[in-house]
Amino acid sequence: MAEKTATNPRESGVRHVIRRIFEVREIVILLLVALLAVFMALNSRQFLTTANFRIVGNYMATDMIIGAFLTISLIAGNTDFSVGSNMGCSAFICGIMLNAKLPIPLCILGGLATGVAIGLLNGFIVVRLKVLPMIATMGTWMAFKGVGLMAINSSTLSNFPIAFKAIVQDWNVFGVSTLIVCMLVITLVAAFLLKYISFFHQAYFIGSNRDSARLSGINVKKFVYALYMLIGFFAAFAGVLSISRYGSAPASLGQGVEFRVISALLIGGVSLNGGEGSILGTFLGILLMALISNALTLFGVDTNLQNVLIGSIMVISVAIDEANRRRQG
Amino acid sequence: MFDGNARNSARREVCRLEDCVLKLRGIDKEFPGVKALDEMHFDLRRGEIHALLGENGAGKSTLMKVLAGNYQPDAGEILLEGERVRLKDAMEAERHGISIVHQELAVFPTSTVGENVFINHPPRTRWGGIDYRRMYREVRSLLDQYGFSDVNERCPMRRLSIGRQQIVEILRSVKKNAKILILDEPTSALTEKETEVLMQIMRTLNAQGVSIIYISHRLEEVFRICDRATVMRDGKYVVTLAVRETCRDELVRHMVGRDVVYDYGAGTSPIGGELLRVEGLCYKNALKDISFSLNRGEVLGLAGLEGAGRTELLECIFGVHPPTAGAIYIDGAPVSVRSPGAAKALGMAYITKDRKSKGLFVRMSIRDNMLAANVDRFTRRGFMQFRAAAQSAQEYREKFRVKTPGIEKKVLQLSGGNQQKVLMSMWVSRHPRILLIDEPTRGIDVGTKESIHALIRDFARQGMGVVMISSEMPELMGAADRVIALYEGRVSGELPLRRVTEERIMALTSGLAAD
Repeated sequence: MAEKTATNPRESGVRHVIRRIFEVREIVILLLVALLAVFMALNSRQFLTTANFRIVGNYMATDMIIGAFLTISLIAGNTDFSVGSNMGCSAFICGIMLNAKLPIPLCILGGLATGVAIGLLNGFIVVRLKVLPMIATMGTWMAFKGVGLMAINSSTLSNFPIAFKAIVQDWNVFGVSTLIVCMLVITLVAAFLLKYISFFHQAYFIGSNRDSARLSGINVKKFVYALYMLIGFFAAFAGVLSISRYGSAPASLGQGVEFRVISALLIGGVSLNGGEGSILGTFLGILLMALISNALTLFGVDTNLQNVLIGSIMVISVAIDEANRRRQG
Repeated sequence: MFDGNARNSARREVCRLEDCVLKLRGIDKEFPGVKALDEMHFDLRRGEIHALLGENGAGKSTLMKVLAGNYQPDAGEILLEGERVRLKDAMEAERHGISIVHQELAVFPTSTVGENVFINHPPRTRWGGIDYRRMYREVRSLLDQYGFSDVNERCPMRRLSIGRQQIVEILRSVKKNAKILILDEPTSALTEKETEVLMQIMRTLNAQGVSIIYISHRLEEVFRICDRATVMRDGKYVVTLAVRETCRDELVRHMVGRDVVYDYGAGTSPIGGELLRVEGLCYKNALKDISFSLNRGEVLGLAGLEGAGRTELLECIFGVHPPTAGAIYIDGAPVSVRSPGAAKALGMAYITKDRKSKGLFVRMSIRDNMLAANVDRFTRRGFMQFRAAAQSAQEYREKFRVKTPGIEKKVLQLSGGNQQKVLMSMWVSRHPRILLIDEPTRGIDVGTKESIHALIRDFARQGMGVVMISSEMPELMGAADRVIALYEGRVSGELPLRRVTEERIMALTSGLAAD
């Protein structure tokens, strides 16, 4: 394999540059986002309004809050399909506690604790029972979907205290809503942790070669536990913010989130095999999805087209990655 | 068929062309950095059992892979029944009646014995489906014919012992009506009884006119069953002898006999007090009551055949596997090594032989590899110290003379020798006190070999203790200050420097008592 790359004929400058651009996923997605944004700006008056930015931001927020640490875990090679059910289940627990007139901070803590517990269970199944992450979390995904719906009797929870609803509906920082602020903060923190803090940066080593990482003395088990718990925490966090925003907890809360987030991650350059990906890529992937949804809404096109587009982009972008990899050997 | 003006096939072959089912002439095969086969010759007579002998790395398996169509030779020709053929892939070789049973099992563990025998050409029913009844009937009679009436043809393969599985693999070749059967170290995993059965099968096949090439490390078997033996060394043809007219010593001499004396500095560093001691170490079935000690400044060679427990021993010491019994002492104090992380903290370093799959992070840069093995060292208050890692990678790149344009290059793009240097630098940069190293120069060319051994000796001179596994006799002799040999999970003997000879090591590692 080593020789192949060595004997690669030197390409002319421009083609080389283009090739290199296509090798960096973030740039490709950024170009797509920019293209879409320019197109939208030219064709829709509403696109470049503060109100629309808020819509896009709110649309992205829960996905990104969940996607940030999920990205880090996937870089280490551990996927988590249970995030959607976790988000729903934790929010329902929080909602039930709210309806029981418990103090609001306690209710929020209850919701978050539920998320962490589900994460801990995922970690346990993966680390101790040695079940493949995909299967383990598909199991908990189904199970906690059921648990959540049983807890609320498949009905919609509502009548939350006004003070709780105010968290997302009224609070703001310089006019930016809680939801968007949380998303931005979590994104930046996750990006910082992944890049500079050893514990999180290890994700790349673990994902790149788990056996080597283990022999290098990296505590893989601890990492896996920690990440599942963090993902659980943030899935629950997204759930709590959601019910605060809507003022109710519909039975469908969180359903389908896992596939939407994971496909956005894949678009953003995360590999299911591990070792690759970045928070920036994830952010752009989720932004792209939000923009597509936004565009379809603004133009009044059937929003189901969104799924068609997202699915296609995901497959094409992963195919490009595979082609790059084969070429590099 | 006979080609009248066959070019001069004179060498030391004792085979006329018309007797030969197979003839290999001047086969060359080069891998990046290593010349695996160099003008190799080989011929096989009709209906003989021909042993192919040589040390580890002599090129036996490579030659057989060329013959089985797995590798394409860079030069040379293959003559089957006197006709020149090109074996472009394994299927082509099979069509020519060449069948190989590889050293590693190539079975389908969840499929039944019957399905495994008929893997490629199961009998068909009239409608094109697989005719299971006929298939199992035929397998049944085959099993009975070779004395395996107790093996159920419908049993999943994985329930059989390794030896039985190997025999099923051989039956697969029988079913394919192979004219030439290659057995690459079939007995390394077999019990004595299974070996006996295998010999019986070989004789039966032989009587039916099948020519067999037999690769084995066990000379005793060669003398029992083979007609002729070809010895190869360093990818080159050495000699072909009639087994009846030779003796064990002569074969060994041809196998190991070498003009170059390798000197990697054994016995040149001052040896201090005890550094590491292992007592009564056991691990499942792989290690049985292993005790030894390692001194400061010493390179301790660990000899043994594949599967004797060498790697398991190092991995137990390094905390990869939890030992089932026994104790480890460092500086005389008992230590508990529960994980590689703990071993690292105790000043141990382990350099695996599976460089690419278990040692390096091949898709990452040299710098990131340095970082990955030393996350603890390059972390300050939780922050990753990228610059320090880059400096360290740069420093060792120069020190070890790693041939690369820069430390940002991916490890995948380096040659084997340079990869090994990178792996060593990742660990040595920690300044460990105990270096455990498995096959330090596997698949590495001679020049780099020397520089790697120079590095190892250098660590020893600094008072470090080194335990080195090697399958290569000259390496053990040239580099180790003392050799301990393992045989089937036990220490079968210990040789101080002045008593280390290839013959003694061979005797100890094959379970024969040392003189």
